[in-house]
Amino acid sequence: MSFDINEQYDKIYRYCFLKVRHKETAEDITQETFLRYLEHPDYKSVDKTLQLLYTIAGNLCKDEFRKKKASELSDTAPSNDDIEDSVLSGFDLKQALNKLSEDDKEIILLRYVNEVPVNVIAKMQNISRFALNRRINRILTSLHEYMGKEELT
Amino acid sequence: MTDKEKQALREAFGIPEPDRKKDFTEQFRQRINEKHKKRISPVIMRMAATAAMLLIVVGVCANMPVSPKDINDNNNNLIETTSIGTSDISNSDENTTSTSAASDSIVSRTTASTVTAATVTAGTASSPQQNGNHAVTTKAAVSGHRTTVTTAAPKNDKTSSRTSHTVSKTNTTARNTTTTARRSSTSIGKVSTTTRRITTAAASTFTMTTAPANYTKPAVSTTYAAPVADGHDMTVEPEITYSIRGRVVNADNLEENSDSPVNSNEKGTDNAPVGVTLPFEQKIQEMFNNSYAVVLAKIDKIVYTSINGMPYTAENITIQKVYKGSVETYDKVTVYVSGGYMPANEYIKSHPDIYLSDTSYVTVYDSGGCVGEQECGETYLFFLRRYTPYLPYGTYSLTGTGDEGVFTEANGCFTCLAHNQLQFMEELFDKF
Repeated sequence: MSFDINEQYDKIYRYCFLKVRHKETAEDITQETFLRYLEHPDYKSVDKTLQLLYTIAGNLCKDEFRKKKASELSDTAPSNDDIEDSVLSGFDLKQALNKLSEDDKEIILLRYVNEVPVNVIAKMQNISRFALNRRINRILTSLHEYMGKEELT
Repeated sequence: MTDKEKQALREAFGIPEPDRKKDFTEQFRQRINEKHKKRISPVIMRMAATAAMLLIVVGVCANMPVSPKDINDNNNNLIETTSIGTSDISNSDENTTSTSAASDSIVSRTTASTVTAATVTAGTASSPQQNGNHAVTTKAAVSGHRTTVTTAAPKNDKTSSRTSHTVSKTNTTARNTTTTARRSSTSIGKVSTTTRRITTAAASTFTMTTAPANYTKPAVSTTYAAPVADGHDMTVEPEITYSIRGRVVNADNLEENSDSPVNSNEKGTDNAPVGVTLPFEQKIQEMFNNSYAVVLAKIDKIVYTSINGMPYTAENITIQKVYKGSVETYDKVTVYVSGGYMPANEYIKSHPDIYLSDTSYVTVYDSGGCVGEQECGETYLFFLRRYTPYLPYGTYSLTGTGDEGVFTEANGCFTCLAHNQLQFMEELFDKF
């Protein structure tokens, strides 16, 4: 194995949660992701581990979207109160993140929370690394504007 | 971005901690361990496959024909001559059973094989500087048989000079004669070894060895391989064969008048001159030079086939006499002659310009540029070429156009099938 399961489990879980907005579902998808990864013929390839994991997780999240209607997902999604309770600080940042599109939020999560390398994210998004860097800079600029301060660089 | 900012960002996403992480990670690690254990079987499979592949390769190499004769590539006869001598040779003795003698510490032994084996191994062991007895052993393997000649020379105190030891290899054709003369470095004497090939009725060849007459013959034990009785079968079976069935239609008549039957007597009898512009002798010599082999052979079998939609006749012949080439008497080879019989439905596929109303039970005869037609059981003189690109490997074709390279034989006089005015006597080959 080329990765630490404890570390990657959290990261994939966060990625899935961002997509499905449901804790149990996100955890199910995370576990399914690792099981499918284990059965994948390329699972021994060190270079493609992260990309493979995120691709499987993303596809499983899309499948989950197809299964459930949007309304059902919204019912099961945690309320804003829950999120507010879980956030101890950074209220402005949370509001600023909510203003971002889902794709932008995904990129920020992957890059700064899960610390996925730029080249892996670029391959997942099917864009070049330079395009991804420009996009990340644009997202950060938007966050600065939303928050009205210059903390994020 | 600093760690503090990353932490703030992580909290801002508001993602709760997973509950079942610990259980799953343990199970996942167990699965990985199981999967790693299973990986042993592919390794074993790969090793087994490698071993099997090696066995196959070894088997193929072991069964691969070593003799070029077996792979239809008998181009050269090989003669190996070994001579050792320090004394004058005053007498020559021809002996088909390879006998030599030496009394003045000279051993002269020549063993040659030119039968069918392309691989002749000769090993010579001698002690020229010694005054005692020394022996020369030459081994020749002939088509799987072994020929061993051992010669022991008696002691001779006079021999104090150096002896010369020469091993030469000579590629010869059927009528080649190789003569090797060596003078010793001390000019004491010379050894003259004459090797002449003698072809017996069984196509086997032994050598004769010259030796001084005043020498006493040493003890010699000689064992020769049995003569090859039946030659080598190098015939090639065509993949496609046709039989003559139903009505026979001459392809030459189809363009003018389709469906006009032709009887077998008509074809091949109009001996139209193809154009013999050169003098006969020059023409024959040119054909002789352009041929890989010139043989007198009997047709054993005739098979009609096709190559790329063109009719051909495959003739299996048994060679009776060799005038040129590295084939041997009694060898069986396959000669592809242009033209032959072909079912009409097959023939029109490659000849769209020809129309036949009914091809169901019609056979088309295409002369293929040949004037005559050879018959099974008859003997002809063949001028043969090899390595025609579109023909199967190992087969022969006729030299010249059409059947120019086929001659009938009658009392030593050969008559060309294509031009019956082109005749010559067998003695003409001696001039070439």
